[in-house]
Amino acid sequence: MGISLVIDVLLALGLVGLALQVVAGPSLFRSIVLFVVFGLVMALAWARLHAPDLAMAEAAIGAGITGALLLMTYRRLVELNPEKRGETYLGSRWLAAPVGVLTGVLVGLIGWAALQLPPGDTTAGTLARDALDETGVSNPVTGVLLVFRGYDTLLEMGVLLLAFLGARAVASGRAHSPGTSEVSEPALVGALLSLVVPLTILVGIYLLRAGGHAPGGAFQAGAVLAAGGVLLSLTGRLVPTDHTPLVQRLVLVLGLLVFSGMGLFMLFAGSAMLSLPGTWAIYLVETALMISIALPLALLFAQAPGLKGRGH
Amino acid sequence: MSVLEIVSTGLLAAGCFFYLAGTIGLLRFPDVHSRLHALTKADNVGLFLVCLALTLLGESLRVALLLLLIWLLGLLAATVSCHLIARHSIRRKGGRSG
Amino acid sequence: MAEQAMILLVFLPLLAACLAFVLAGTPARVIAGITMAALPALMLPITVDVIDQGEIAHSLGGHAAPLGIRLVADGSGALMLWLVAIIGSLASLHAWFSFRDQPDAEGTFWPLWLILIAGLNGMFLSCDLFNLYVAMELVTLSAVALVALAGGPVALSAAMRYLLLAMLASLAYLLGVVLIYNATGTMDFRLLAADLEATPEVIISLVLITVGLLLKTAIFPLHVWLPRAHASAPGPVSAVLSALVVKASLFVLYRIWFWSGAELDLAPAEWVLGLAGAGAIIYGSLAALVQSRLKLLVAYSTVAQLGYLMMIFPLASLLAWPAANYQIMAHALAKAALFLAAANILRGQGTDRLQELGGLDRRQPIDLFAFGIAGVSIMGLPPSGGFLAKWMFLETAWAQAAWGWLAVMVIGSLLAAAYIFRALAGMLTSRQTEFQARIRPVHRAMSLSALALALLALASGFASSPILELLGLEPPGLSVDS
Repeated sequence: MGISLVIDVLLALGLVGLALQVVAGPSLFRSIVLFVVFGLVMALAWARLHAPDLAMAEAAIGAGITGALLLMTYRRLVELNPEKRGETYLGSRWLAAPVGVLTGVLVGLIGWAALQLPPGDTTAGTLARDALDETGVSNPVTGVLLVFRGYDTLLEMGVLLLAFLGARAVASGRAHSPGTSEVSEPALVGALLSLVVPLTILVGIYLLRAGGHAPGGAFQAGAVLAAGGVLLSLTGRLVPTDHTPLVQRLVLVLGLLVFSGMGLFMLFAGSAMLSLPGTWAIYLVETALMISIALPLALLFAQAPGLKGRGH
Repeated sequence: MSVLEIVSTGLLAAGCFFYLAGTIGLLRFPDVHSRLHALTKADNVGLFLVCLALTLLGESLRVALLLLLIWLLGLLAATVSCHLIARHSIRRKGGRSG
Repeated sequence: MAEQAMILLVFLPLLAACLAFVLAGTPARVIAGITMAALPALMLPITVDVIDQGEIAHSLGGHAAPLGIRLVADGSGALMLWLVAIIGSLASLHAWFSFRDQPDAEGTFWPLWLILIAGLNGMFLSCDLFNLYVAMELVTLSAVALVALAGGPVALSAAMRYLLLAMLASLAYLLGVVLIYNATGTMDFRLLAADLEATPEVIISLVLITVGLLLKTAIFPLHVWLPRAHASAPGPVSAVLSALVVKASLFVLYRIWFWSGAELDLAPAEWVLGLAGAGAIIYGSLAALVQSRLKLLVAYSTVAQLGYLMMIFPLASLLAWPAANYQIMAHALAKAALFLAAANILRGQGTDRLQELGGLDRRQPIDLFAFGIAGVSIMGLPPSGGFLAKWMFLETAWAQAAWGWLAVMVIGSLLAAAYIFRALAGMLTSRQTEFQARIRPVHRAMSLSALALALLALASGFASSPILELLGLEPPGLSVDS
């Protein structure tokens, strides 16, 4: 009890300290890097709260992909405005303290109120746990995400598509940047890629399969694959195109199409909408979701409508 | 506490010591290259000791192999990023990096 | 049959969006057109069943709430879905012609538009608080992207501000939902009613949810993002934003207050909401009065008219419910007409500065006529739908001797007349200016879509009994006359 309390207090203090540094720090670059660190410490906090799926998602998406996106954005901003390199756009820094105090009070109130009453006996969560056996998966998170509340997951895929479309809407009319400068490539990069990229694909597929009975699932797997895409894009193995090729457009909507299609088929075949014909259906849908999650994240990082192999 | 746990705790403590040394080096050394020494060498020894400690606690071949893989990946990431940072630092000062 | 139609209301636009994105170009436009035309057809079996049985429901995946998610269509939900179908179709007709000369933007427009429609339908059908959050994200993000599609620094900064404030609102809403789940163990807002008690946790969560939804609905004083976002968006986008998007989050607020909160005594908070509404009416109308640009005037008019919808809280009574629904419907139709007409005027004249618009009765007569008729409904003159709505509000305020709210609503109507007449006067006055070459052609169908919406706003004043019959039962929270 003693040691774990110390660890928890250290984690909490670390989170608050990092957050303060991010919001009130002197330079934008420093804030971005510390934000990535914040994400990783947050993942540790989730692990301490016995939520390994959340910890993985936080590390992969919150720290990894988001960090990569923020750093890439910073680099583009510096390219466009080289004279503002050291500037911090933090608007009004004096707002940080009062907003922080207000938020702290709110969180304190919420915590105090939430601790007043114990939760009821039958919540939706306990019902889910009890009904888990008939779904064919033993990971309750996967059960809730894909079986009991699959509609939410389906709509979230729409949100990802929206993110891509929104990026296209804002970028419309802007000429595409020429890409990385012509520097000779360091020797180790090729070796790194030949080792890491196949490993990334393997880890992604493993996370997908393991999601049925252990922490994992489509979102974590998709984030890992997206990280592979980010790596290939950074090293110039994948270059941006002007328009989204047909295959990539299909991949972007594949998750939505497969999930909705299966759901509608079940509806018109007599069952309820989005009921699943078997456990195999869960893995089929998750595979479609995985690649539909990976591609928009990679395209958002590359700030491009599409990607193609170098030398095509 | 069994012998295994005592040995593991000792290895964990040693690993944390190396991490601490690496972080102090990161904060105190004067320039990029010496900081890279601290970061990669000390941290990787620390990682090795931590992985060894967890292998002893894991008590299965699968866990041992996975931890070995983790250490090797950590080495790989450290190697490449160290090389890239050093190269960038030399180029920024105008030298050739070969 | 009706259950399947209900589900298709969400999934048909969603799948059409995917297809439109994949195919792009002219096929995308055709797919969108067919989908939007199909929506009113889907509404017919749903309406018949709702009038017969009161409501229809479907549990997704076969899992009953609280384990799964339910979709429910009841009287007022069906009315909202009709509004989405009609206003969505007519605005799509406008977009069909107005986006034809921008092929690049059009490729991104139709998928965004269809997802927006799917999200709106999803919001009006869902019975689950967390699912409402996800559907709200669909609506908000597509709305932001559609505003940004207009291009240019003003639209982009307005879209950014909209995005940030909407994200803040979503966060507050989500926090409230989490607390409610912790307190009751369910997220279905109809099942909640039995479990909600006025504990500190529930009060804090209701405050959070309400503030989040008020921010999304742009109720004074949380309205700051709306005028510029709605004014700088493309024409059909502004129409749907003002007519439907802000109403959707307000509708969720009604659901939570009058269904989930049916057992709670919410009287102390009600006059706070009423004050916000009064502030919206007065501030919005005064701000509209001093605007120099037509689209900003219409946007501030939205801020003002939304204030009337807050009046249901202090005046909670049996009559207030149909009054609020009628106001939602009449304002949606009239405001969509105003924005489409204003967009046509901006397109045809190259400017929407009131000082530079003159003699429109010769240049763009149909658009001016549509603006005028829609203005009649906004002002609340008989025989429009707006008149009926405001009359019902005034009636219930009179019955409760609530003179303060009554006075605010009357002043609001007078101010609305002032700014509508100011706009019309600017557009009707003949000027000595030469006939400027039209900047971009305004297709006849674009003007006719605006006119159709305006005429519908007028007609809703006549055809009140079928609509009131559809509305059916009052919500449980209003069953006691106060």
